[in-house]
This record gives sequence, structure tokens and C-alpha cells, in this order.
Amino acid sequence: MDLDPVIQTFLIEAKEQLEEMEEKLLSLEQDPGDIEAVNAVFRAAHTIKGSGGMFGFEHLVAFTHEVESVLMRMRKEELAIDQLLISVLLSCSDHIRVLVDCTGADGEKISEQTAQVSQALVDKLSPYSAKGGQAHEQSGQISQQGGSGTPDKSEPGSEQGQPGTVSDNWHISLRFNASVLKNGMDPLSFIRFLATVGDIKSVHTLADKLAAAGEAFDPEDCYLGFEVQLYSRAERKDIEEVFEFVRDDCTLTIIAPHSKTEEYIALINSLADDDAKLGQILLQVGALTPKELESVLQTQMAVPEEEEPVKVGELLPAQGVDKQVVDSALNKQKQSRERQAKAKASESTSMRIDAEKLDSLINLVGELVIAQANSALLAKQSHISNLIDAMASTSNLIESIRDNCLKLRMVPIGQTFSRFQRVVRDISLELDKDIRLTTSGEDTELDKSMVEKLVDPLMHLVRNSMDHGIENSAQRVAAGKPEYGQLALRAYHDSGNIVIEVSDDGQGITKEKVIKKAIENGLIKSSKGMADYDIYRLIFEPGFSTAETISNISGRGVGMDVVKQNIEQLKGSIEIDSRPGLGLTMRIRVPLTLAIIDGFLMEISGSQYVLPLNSVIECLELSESSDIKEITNNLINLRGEVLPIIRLRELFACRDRAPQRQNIIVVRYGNRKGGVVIDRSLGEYQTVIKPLSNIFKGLEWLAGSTILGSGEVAMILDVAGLFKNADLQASGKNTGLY
Amino acid sequence: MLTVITSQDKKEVVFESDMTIYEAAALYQEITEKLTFDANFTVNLTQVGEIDISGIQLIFQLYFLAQSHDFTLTHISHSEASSQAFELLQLDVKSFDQYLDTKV
Repeated sequence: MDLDPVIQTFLIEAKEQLEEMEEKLLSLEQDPGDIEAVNAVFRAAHTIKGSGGMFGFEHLVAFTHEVESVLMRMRKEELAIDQLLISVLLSCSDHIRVLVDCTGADGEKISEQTAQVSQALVDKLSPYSAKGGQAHEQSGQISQQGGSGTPDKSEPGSEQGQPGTVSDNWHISLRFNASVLKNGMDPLSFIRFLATVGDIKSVHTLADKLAAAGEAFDPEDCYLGFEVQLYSRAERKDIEEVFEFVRDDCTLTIIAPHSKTEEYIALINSLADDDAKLGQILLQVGALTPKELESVLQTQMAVPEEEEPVKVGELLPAQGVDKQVVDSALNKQKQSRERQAKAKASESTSMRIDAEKLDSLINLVGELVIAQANSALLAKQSHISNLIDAMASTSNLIESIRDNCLKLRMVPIGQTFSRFQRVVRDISLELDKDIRLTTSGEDTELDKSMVEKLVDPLMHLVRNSMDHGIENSAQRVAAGKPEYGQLALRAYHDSGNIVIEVSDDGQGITKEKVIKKAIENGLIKSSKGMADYDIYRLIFEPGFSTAETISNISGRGVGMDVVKQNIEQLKGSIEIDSRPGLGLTMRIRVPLTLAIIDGFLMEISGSQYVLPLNSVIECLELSESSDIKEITNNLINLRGEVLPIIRLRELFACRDRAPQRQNIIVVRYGNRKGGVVIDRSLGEYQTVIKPLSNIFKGLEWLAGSTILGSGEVAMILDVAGLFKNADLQASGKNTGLY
Repeated sequence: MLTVITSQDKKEVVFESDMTIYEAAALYQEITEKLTFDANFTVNLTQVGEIDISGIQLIFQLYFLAQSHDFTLTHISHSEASSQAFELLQLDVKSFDQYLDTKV
């Protein structure tokens, strides 16, 4: 079997589990009494350990096992949950991630350094683990073996500490078939081998059969049975494996120790809801081994049809499975089934799809849109009304397909936000500031590729806010603010864009500081005539840093310009809203997607152009009878509102005469509005964005190009770029065509 | 393979070979031929190099046979191998008495 895809799935799932683990650990830090969160963390660790074990990733299993032991104590409420413990567990979760990264189809490759980290973390865990001092000796196996042994098989010898009470022992009943000796098996050797998985506390030899044999005694038959008490941390399966070779010649009953029974019950309760059969549940938590289950099922099958069928649950106690455990599993099964039945109606199932397949589907839909536009055009030219109608309904369908296709790539931003909980926590500790993060709008969806590209800029803004924005507690108290700083991440839709805000209640940006620094760095000569907005934007200039002390978190002055560049690459923008002394909000605005947009088609000098429809507010005619009668100094008066005008004919250096009647498209970008003068508007148009070649790189007002149904190419205009260019033009630095 | 030494006040069964499944049948044959249960006796395993469950069963059987004749097994002297096996199973002569209840 090709294990590679299976291992890939393991890797993906392990990472998901780790994300969940981290998230729940962070929430536990806030609310140490959240038992559900403890369960979730435990479940994640247990799943990783279980799946890792399936592939034989011994080191991963051994390390996770140590973590799991501590988590188990947390669940039993034997441990007080404090920040220190959470920090250790977070480091462990990070390390498990490293260990998962070390695994692959060719096994796990643990470097000596990684093994040392494992050891160091296990040492940190040891004060929390039940075995205390023993942990140190035992965990030595992890680094020494580098993945060649399971900690389960460790032997808690009596010399190491408490041997455990009777209820802490495994009870193993062995009844051998008469022919076992003739088959070459010596029961004695199996008992001897049993001593390697634990400490044999007592053996009771059963000789009743022998006593009963009397004269009929056959010295080559086996008459003896044994009851063994074993103290061991091994799993049921490991104990059963000792008798692997004699399995057919004996009846083996393994009864778990009392502590194990509790562990099984806890595990059963923590299992995810699944339509599992009773046997499967017990198998999953290790309360039953596959062979035992098989034998139970065989017994069940052996019941003649005419008799009432025996339930598995009734047969299990005979296999040594504690009745309490069976009852817990039955309860769990019942609950799961009920919950599943409820959830089934509303629950949507999800599946993983290769991102490449999705991209190629979206590309094809893009081509389909273009082809459809061509067909619609031909239909229009043919003047056949039926054909035009048919094309119209096809268009609607294709539009729906397009929208649905684009939605496939949409992911909620919540996952990205949750990542920041950890970042904020860690940096808070590092800076010794008490900062709390709140998030909202986690359900807001945007293109997956956008989400990935937004992480870095967001990270930088968050770090900046924490480092420079939010004051230390003494300063905050002096300023009459709460002692702890507040940082908020917010996402929402705004006219076809996604807005992501990073806001804090820190000191905000001080205008004077920015001006002083900008003059020092030669970015400006003086701030005379500069609007507040423009002054704040200076922080995005390369080489600008106002941090009084440069820290390793932020403040080398290389970040903010990179943030701006990254956002601009996404066709987005960033705004600053500073309230000096009260706080700062950084507002990132990005389009929903980069692949297909609803466009507004227009014509200038015989060529067609597209404006993103979501930025279009209204279309007006420039004529005596309209609201806009004239343009004065590149400004128009729109019902009392003065708006700047961009003349595209001038920008594109069109030499032919403008038509008698021109149109003005009122557009909006961020918090700015303006007019764009065009020849003719052609209406709404589904636009598949095609990238531009490097020749156009310097032209910020071009967002891309598209192919029209007629096969012609139309340029897509970038509204933000147009405004920016107009600003430059006004200041005499034109980057237009001439 | 086995010798029964009988003196005035003492009877000793000396096993002189291994006591595994390979020897079990022959040893039991000798026991039935050479041993009469007319006094308490001891078992000497000091020459036993290897012992398995069949060997231990033989000692049990000796004990039960003695008991059925109202005598008993009073002592076992061990070799290293037999001592290990008996220790593992936590068996000694005294503990044999507990099996009397199970005798039918």
C-alpha cells in the first residue's frame, strides 16, 4: 500500500489538532475552569499520539504520551491550571508540531537537538506528572532511544517507588489448553516474558484440574492455570501481545486495574461523537484488544439463529472488561447517536480538495465567462430574439456558477485571527505588558490566497500596536486608562471589499513626533500644508521609524513600508485612524477576490475600459440638463459636494476629439470620493482579471486586463491608483503616459 | 533419570535429568514404577538443568499422590533453574497445602 497519501492526511490532521490544542490552551489560560477545553486539548494530544503510533512514529508517540499524562491529571482536576503550566504545554504543543514535521513516508527523523528539546520539555513537565521524580528516569528513554521504544513498556520497578495497591494491578487469568505443551509452548516462558512488561506482584497457580485428574494424569498434558497480578503502565494491547504465540492454546482474560478503568471511562467520555459500535469504542480507548473483540463477536455469531441474539455488551465482562467501562461506552454510544441524529439535518459535511484542482476549475470558469460574453455578443448581432433570450438565461446560470466557484476558495478569517491569540500572549509576556486581544467578524470570508498573504502585514501591525502603541501599565494608569491594554482585530464586508481593522487603546500616533522624524529622515522639508491624513501616511515611507527604543519585536523602520507594499499587491489599501492619547486603528481594505470581478464597462476614445463595479456610486451625464453642468479646475459640484475629477482622456493622451456629451462616473475608494470623466458608459460586465506584463508595472492606475467577448482587450482601472496619480499630478509629479 | 533413596527415617526422590515435556512421560513412568507412598518424602531437584510447566506439574502430581496416601511432600531442594521457576510462580512446599481444598 502506498502510505504517502495516508501520511499526508496524518500530517494535515495532526496540524489541525495542534491548532485546536493551542487555541484551547489559550482559552484555558483565560478560564482555567473550562473542563471542555481541557477535554479538547487532551483529545487532540490523544489523537496525535494514536495516529502517530499507527505509523510507528515512536518518538512523537513517546513525547505526546508524556504530555498526555499531564493532561490526564488536569482532567482529573489533580492539577491546578496556571499560566506556568499553560506556557509549558504551549511549548510542548509547539514541539509536537516540530516532531510532526520530522515525520514522513520514510519514518521519523529526529535530530539529536530535537531529542534534547524533547528531553528538556519532559523535564519541565515532570513536576506536573503523577510520577514526579520517576518521570526523569523514565523519560530518559525518549532521547536515548531516538524513537525505538514505547514509554508504555517502561517498568515501574518496586525499587523506584510505590508498587501500587492491588487495585492498581492488572489481573491476568490464564487457562491453557491441555495440548499446549505438546504444541511446543511452555506457559512458564510466557509468564517469564510477562515480567518484562511490568512487575509481577503475585502468581497464583491453579491446580484443581490436576488434582481432579488422579489416575488419569497424562504428564504431557497441561493441567495448570494461573492468576497473575501485574503492576504495569503498559496498555492492554501490550499485555495481550505477550501471549501472542500461545493465543490459540489458551483462554486469556485481562482485567484492567482500577486506575485504568477510570482512564478508560474518561477517554470514552472525551471521544468525539461518532457512530461507533460498542466494540469499536472500547477498542479505540484501549479497553479491549482486537483479538478480544474478535472472540466476543465469534461468540455472538455462534448463538443459534432461533435463540435470542446476545448483545456484545453482555459478553464483554467475560473478557475482563470492567462493567463500568462497558456502561460508559454504552452511554457514550447512546449520546453520540442522539447528538448525531440532531446534527445530521443541519450538519454540512466537508471534504478536502486539492487547491490546484480548484484553481484550474476557476480558470476554466473564467474562460467560460469570456466565451459566454462572445456568444452573447454574437446573439445580439444576429437579432434573433429567441437566441438572445436563451443566451440571457445561460448568462445568469454562468454568473451563478462563477459566484459559487469563487465561494469555494473563500475561507473564514477566523482561523487567522485565532493565530494571533498566541502571538499576543507571547509578546505580552515578552514586553511585560498586560494586553488582551478581542476579535470579531471571524466568519467574514475571503479568498484563501488573500488570507495567507494578509498574515504577515497583520502580524506586523499587531506587533507594532503592542510594542509602540500600548503603553506599560504605569503609563496607562497615569493616563486614566485601564491597567491592561486592549487590542482588537475586526473583519467585515464593506461595499465589495473586506475591511480588517487592527485597533488598540494605546497612545496613538503623535503628529508632531511623525513630522519631526520625517524631517530628520529627509522625507519632507516641512509639514506646512499637509493634511493630518498625509502626515500619518508618512509612517509607511521606507526608513521611517518613530520608536524611541528599537526592540526586537518591531521598530527597525523596515516594516511599515513592507506592510503597505504587501497590501497594495493585494489591490488593497491601508488607512490610519489615530486618536492621539486614545488609540490607533489601522484599517486594511482588500478586494474579496483576485480572480473575477463585477466590472463597469466604459469607452474612451474608441477603447474599452473596466472599473470595478463595487467602487462605482453613480453615473451622470455632463450636460446642461444634468446635475453636473461643468467642470471647474478639475472639480465638480455634485449636489453641494465638491469632488475632484479625473479626466481619462488626458491621462491616456487621447488626441481625437471628445464626444459632445461626456459622462461622469462617481466612484468611491475608502473614505474618498471622486469623479471619472469618460466618453460612454457600456454597463455592467463580468470581468475575468488577467495579469499585466511587467511593462505596465509602473502604472499604478492599471489593475489588470480582461478579454472581452469580442476578443478585444480592455484595461481594468484601479480606482485607488487613479486618485493617487491625480494627487501626484496636482503636485507636479505626473506618472501618466506623457 | 530418577532415583528414590529410602533410609530409615527419610525418603528422597532425586530427579537426575531435565524436567521438560521431552522427559515428562518417561519420568512419570519411573515415578509410578519406583515410588511407593508409604512415608513422607522430600524431592531433590539439585541436578535439574531445565524445567518447564510439565516438570512443575510432576512435582504437584507427586504431592497429590502422597496426599491421597495420607503422606506428604515435606521439602524440595532446588537447582538454580528449578529455584527460578518456583520463585516466578511463587510456589513452595508450604504453599502446596492450599491446593488440598481443591482436591476432589
